[in-house]
Amino acid sequence: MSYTRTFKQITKKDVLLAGGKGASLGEMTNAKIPVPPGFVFTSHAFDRFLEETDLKQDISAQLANVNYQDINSVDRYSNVIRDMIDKTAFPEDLAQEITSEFKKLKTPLVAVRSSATAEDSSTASWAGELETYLNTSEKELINNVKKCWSSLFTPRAIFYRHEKKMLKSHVSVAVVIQAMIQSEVSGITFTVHPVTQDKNQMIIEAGWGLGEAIVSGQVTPDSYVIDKRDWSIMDINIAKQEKMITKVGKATKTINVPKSKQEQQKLMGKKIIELAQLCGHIEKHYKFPCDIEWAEVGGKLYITQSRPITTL
Amino acid sequence: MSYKKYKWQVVAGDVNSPFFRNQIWVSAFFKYHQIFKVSRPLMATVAWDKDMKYLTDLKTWVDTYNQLKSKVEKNNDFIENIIDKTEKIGQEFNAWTYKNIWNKDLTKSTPKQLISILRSFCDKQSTLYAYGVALPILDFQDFSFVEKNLKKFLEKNTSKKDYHKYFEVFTSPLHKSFASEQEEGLLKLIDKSYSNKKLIRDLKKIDIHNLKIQYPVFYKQLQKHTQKYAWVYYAYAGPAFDESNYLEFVQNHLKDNLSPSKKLKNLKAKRDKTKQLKQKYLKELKPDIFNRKILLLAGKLVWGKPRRKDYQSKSYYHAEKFLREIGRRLHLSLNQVRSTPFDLIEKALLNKYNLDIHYLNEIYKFHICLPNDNGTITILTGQEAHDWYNKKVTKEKNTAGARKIKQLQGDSACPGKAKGTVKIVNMASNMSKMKHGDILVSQATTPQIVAAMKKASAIVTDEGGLTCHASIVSRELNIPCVIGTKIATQVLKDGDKVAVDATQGLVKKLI
Repeated sequence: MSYTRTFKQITKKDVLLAGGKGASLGEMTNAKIPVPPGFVFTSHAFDRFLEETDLKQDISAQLANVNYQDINSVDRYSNVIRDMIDKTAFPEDLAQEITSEFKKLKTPLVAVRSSATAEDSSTASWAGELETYLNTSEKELINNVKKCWSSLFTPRAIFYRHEKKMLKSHVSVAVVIQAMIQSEVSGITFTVHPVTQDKNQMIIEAGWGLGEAIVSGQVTPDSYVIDKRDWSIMDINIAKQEKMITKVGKATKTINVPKSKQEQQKLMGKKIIELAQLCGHIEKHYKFPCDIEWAEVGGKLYITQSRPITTL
Repeated sequence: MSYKKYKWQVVAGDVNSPFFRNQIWVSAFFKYHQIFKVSRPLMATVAWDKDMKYLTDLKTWVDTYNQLKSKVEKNNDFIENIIDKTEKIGQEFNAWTYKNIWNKDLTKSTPKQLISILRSFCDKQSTLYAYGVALPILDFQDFSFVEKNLKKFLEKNTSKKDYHKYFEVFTSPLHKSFASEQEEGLLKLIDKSYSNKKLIRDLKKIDIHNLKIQYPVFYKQLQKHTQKYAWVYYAYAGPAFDESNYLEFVQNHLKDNLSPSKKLKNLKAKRDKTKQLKQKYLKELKPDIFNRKILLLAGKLVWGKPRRKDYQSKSYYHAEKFLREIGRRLHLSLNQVRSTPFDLIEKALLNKYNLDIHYLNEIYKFHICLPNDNGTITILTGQEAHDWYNKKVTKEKNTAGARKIKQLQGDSACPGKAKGTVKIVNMASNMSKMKHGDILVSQATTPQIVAAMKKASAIVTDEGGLTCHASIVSRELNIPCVIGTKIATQVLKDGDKVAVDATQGLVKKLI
């Protein structure tokens, strides 16, 4: 049995296998949307790992002890569970399969992202609840995959599952391994104005460097409002950005934005419209307003993630 | 760059004046020789994203002023001719922008056609400025042809007690401004539904979204009204008024519980009475031909001078559609198109020239437009602009210590008394703090802040003149108003309590 699937082998129907994130990347790859190449280490791998190591029962037992009224209790059991996963050896055949797929990507560094699966995950976006490891080399790969697995049991994720009443349902995690884009500019697009909910308007947020700074709210991005009816730019708001996340040497670091660039507009008009039309295409494909993460390097645009906007 | 030869100083301020408008304004004065056969006054602009200042070289201003003044003295119809001329070309200009921009599918125009529209627009707009600005150039120091002669005549021929009565009648226009046409249109609209008690009661609190759902018929009427008058308060860069702005006007009208039909009657009665009184006073005062002209011209000037800006406002409103089309083609936001020099727009449309967006954003943030003797305009931005402005331009006197002043003297624009809390309102973004009964204090009011003026129990401004915006609007709205205090916005701060005696032109701080 194979535990990896390239994006091309995945569609949006494969949520249980590839998680929401993985399924979406597969769906977009097949729709010829420019997604950085990658593959998914499926949830079956995690399930097998739990089964053959008896971790499944141990974890269930630990989770049953959690007192959700008490943050310390959640923290404590999170530590216990993550420790258990950490100390259990990673199956050798799985490690070999991942490494072999990694080599096929022909890229020195990848982003390793958790992609949760659950029977009813259509109502739960898991947005930002699980962990991501940027700029991962072959050497760190297996360890980061394992960390993604155990991120299903961070205090936040345990809480999230409790809140969404998913404790009883089968929750698993797939891991997305994707060629790393060292983006010069990156950001988020909402294909429907999130405040006015105007369907004719799209909002693009853009910042220097890797997208994590914007997603996590560490920097205020530029915002561009697009009129989807004639693809014109209605408004451009430039935000001063002093810090950015980027690769320095081998590490992912937060550094100062060069002074001359701090107050500059991040994306040029033509690129804004190119991106807007690409995002419009994705929205059309899904037939639903989307929240899209994108990246730009060397004048080329990539879509790194997309999910339906669940709050509309 | 011959602009460097001149001595520049700040003469006035304005708000929300984009680069698009500033370069047209500066270019207007190149037409002075051709239009008036007088020398060109050196005029420039310094503009931030919201605020702006007008600069002049005072020597050239005085030269132009003296030449224009001698024309006025030789030909007493000179000022009236300017008003009539601006009225004519203003109407033609609006018809032109309506036909060539507003009523046209610009998405099908070729780049060459767009450039030709842009050139004609700028040429027509700057001609209107050339004519229009001649009037403020003539209002200089102690010389204001109409106002001074009117005051001189009335001081000589009427008692001190009655002076104000005569002054008010002769400076009241016989014709409606576009703003008062709008106002009456709105009153008629309310009047049509005034018997619907439930609607009128709900209107006081309703927002535009619910109005659309609950009272679609009234909403439709309001929408029609908005389409007709969206441009009235647009000035240079809008935003155009929408239904919710006019709903707020409706709500203002409903506050005093006076029926709209009564208000309409009052307005008409006031106009009729002005007309009658003008006739009556003319018979009584028996002015000679010259003074008769002055007495009649005063009201016409009050009506005609701001009307030039109305025509410009309407055409700027039409032009927004055109600027948006350019923005769509060049992938620029509206503010960026408004910050793009014309030659660059031409290059970009014709030759696929790549615009430097950072340069446009710099212009949006801060730019200076300076005229050169050869008819070109130098544009300064960024550090160079800041350095030039800081080192080479004479600013207003330092008014530190202004807060210690307890009383201000200005001119009466509309008589009456009021006490209240000061709110400084210079631009639309300041309006939200204004509550009913507050005293509105402004450098100079603009069409954009009329909604706030309507809430004021009195209005006080730094700048003045018989025909300034505050002066005209306060009289239309019958709100006590003191103009020309020069420093009210520096002496007063938000929250100060003041007593305004607009009849005497006095503003006193109460502590």
